[in-house]
Amino acid sequence: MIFGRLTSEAFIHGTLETIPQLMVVGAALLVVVLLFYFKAWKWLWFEWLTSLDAKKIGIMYIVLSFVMLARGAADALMMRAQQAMAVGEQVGYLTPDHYAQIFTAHGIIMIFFVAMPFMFGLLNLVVPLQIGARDVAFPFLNNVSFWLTAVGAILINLSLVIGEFAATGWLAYPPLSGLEYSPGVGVDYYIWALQIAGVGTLISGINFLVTILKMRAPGMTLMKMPIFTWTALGSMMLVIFAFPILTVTLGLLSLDRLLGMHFFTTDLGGNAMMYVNLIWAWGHPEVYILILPAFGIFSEIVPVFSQKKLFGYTSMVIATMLIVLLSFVVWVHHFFTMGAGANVNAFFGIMTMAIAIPTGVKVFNWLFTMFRGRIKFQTPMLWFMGFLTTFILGGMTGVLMAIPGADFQLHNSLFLVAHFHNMIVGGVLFGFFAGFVYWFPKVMGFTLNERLGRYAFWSWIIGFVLAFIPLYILGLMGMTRRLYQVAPEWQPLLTMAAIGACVIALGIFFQALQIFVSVRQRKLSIAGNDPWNGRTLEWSVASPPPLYNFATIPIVKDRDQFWWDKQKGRESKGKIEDIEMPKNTPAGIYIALYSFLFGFGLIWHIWWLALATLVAIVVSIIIRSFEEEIEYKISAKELANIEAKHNAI
Amino acid sequence: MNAARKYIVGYTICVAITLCAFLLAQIYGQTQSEFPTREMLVAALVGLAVLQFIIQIVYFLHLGEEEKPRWNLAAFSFALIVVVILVGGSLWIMNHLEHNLHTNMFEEENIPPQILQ
Amino acid sequence: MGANAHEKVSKTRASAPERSLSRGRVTFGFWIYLMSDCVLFAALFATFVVLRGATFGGATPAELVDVPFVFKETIILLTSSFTVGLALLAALQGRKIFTLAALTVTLALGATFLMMELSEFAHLISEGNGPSRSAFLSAFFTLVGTHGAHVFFGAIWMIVLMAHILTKGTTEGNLRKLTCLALFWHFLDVIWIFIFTYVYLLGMVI
Repeated sequence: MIFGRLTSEAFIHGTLETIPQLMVVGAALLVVVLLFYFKAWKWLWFEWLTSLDAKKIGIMYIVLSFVMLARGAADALMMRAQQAMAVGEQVGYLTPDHYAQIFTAHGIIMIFFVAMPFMFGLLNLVVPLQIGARDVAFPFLNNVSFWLTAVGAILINLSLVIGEFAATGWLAYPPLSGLEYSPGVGVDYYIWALQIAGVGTLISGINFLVTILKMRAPGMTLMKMPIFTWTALGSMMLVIFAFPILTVTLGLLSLDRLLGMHFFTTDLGGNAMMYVNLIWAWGHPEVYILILPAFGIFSEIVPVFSQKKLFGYTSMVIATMLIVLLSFVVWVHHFFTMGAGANVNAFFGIMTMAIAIPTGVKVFNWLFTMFRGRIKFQTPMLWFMGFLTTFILGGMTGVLMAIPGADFQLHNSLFLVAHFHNMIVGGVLFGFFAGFVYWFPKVMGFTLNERLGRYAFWSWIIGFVLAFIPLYILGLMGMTRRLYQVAPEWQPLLTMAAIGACVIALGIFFQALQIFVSVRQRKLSIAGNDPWNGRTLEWSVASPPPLYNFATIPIVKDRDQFWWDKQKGRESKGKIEDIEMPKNTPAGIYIALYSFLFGFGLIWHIWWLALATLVAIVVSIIIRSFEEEIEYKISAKELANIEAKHNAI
Repeated sequence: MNAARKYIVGYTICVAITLCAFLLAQIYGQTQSEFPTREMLVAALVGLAVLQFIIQIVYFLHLGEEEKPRWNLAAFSFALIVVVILVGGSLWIMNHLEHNLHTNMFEEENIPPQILQ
Repeated sequence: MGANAHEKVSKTRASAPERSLSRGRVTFGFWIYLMSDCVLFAALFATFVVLRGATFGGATPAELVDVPFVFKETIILLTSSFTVGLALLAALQGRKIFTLAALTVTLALGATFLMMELSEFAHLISEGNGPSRSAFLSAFFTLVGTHGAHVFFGAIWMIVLMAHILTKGTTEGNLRKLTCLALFWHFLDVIWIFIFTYVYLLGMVI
């Protein structure tokens, strides 16, 4: 068969599945039509898609993240509706298999295609500016990373149109995800979307680690680095050392499925529990990959909006590095019930409790920073307050579940589901939203509408409490996760949770509206270089920053350099020299395109396609290695002109 | 030590170590474990591997020769820690698991006959 | 990018190979990649260690091992690691012909190593001990095969780099690439020490 196992049947879905199918196709067509209508193809291609400018790549990451947030939130609403409806004898409106696909997709999308791109978007926008660099260490690889992440997202959404998605839960434990119980393409979509996006993530991790360690402005020693950059460094260390484990785990699973091997099968010696062990050896660091930058964002926001320097900078750094190290020795707490026994569980339980200590240090540092500060309650600070309350609650329940005995009761219950949403929504997502509002004026040149921001915040926090506090109670009542039908006594609380989900959806709506209104009224809310009275270097350059970030590389003498520059009225302007910037290239997009087809070929067993595109990827890389003129020069004169023009405004 | 000589010295030592390991294993195979005993052999082979590892890291990968700050060394040390945690931890967890579950599922007498055929 | 202070300093320094390994963004970034690859192999090793007893009636570790054969493989790979080092040294002194010759030898040795590994695999499969025979064999083929795949892609890289050096000589860019390639090749030999010792030699004993 020339198309492997891809037949016309793959396009035919049940009635309800047809709706998202048509929506994806419709949205794609709409984008294409709009691009033709506005004759925007050239603009899009040359200004954005092929750009190697970290700031543009950052914006593309965040756009990707928001689009996927809409998809993930829609999945969440569907799940909540199903559980509110399917009570007792009733079956709700979803088929069991469809429901299982939705909760799998929800988890994967929210972690990999909302939180991760959001994080890398913020890193791209902020880290080079904070350390006084013109770009990241490897601009081309940065572009490749973005496109590989996008390919993963496209593959996941493609599964709505052609074939199906995994119905296994977000970590796809075997033997359920093995060939015997999941013979379809769903798990293959899952594997290859994550593998391709994972490679992009790993490259990004290396890129930012090198950027932070090797490209800081002269004088910026490690202990003068802004805390966000520190946490980014910690997060990237985790990416570099944890993601290979995911690559191996998913690789072995796909070898089981493609070549009939027996790593995790139930026969011929396979050991499904090794999969659980391996995937959590990645999975736990992953949690900290996401939360560390969120901590960093708050460590930037709290001092700025309390108008005080950060309390306990050194302890913040030590806490971050401790978390990095400890996050590698706690992974068993995700499977205490597997049966590794008291000794193993005790060790990992204690380690898990220990990790609460550096986290607690951070919380106290933020509180002491606020203490006696003149706090401005603008939206970034609101997100922080929201974070503080929900995150501490989540942290408490986390420490509770670190006790293996308690975990035996709570494992796989809704209590756990509520706990990790507390960390990921109240911790990670609130942090990224805060960062988004905080750095938006820097990137776009105008501030976001404050009033709509408040509406969004209050909808999110109220919705969050309504949606997840009932889940804690339901967990204690004995309700397990991923249930297709529920007992009647759980219905009131589930209805409440469903209402909460709707309120969160309202929050997302306000955020969309906020961006829309702010863009429309951008002339009224010009930000200037330094809208928040900031402390770090990113606020010293124009908003939006010129493409070279800094006309002259700043020389750093202090922590909070920009703040002290303002206090002491000093201005460090060096001599303007010629600079070299990377040229745009479509090579990244081609490599991603071939990777997409490579993944598609493997998913549908179209071997010739997989082989041909693998060769194409290698050839593209070789061709790129022969390109000579990959940079262009901006002469000192042009540079001075651009700067003068900005200063005139 | 100049660079070329370093490679030659490193190469010579590594060949010698490999040869030792090989001969030890051969002798063990021929004498049927009278001397060296099994435990001695295992210890020796592991020791030789670690020794060769260090030699190659120093002589071929030139670790530790960089100027300060020694990021290469720092990254290497962290990688080593993660490797030890991952391999050691997995073994520890999975061995305890097997012990607790009394599976013995890997032993031949417990294999269902239809699979063996 | 040009105005970066570190880059400027490093350009003016004498280029002894010891220095060339630690300086510069590209070699450092590549080193970080190698460290993450270490973890990749560690995960495969962990799997192998856990599954090595799960032979399920198929070949046991002891039955797989042909020690003299693997010894030859090991010496070949070790020698190629040595010659790639010589190639780098020659390139740093601007000796193009010697560099290309040393790389050709390295490539030949690498190819021989791969052929031997493939023949070992073919032999095992023909005896009914393919990767789908048991969990142990799956782990064995995957661990050794992943190392082999690295050698394969390293060899392709080497061919491309030889084309670069042939056309443009030992330019700074090519030196940087060669430094990374040499690191990669040495790294593969380091990984092989553990495969040789644990999978093969100890496979015979425990």
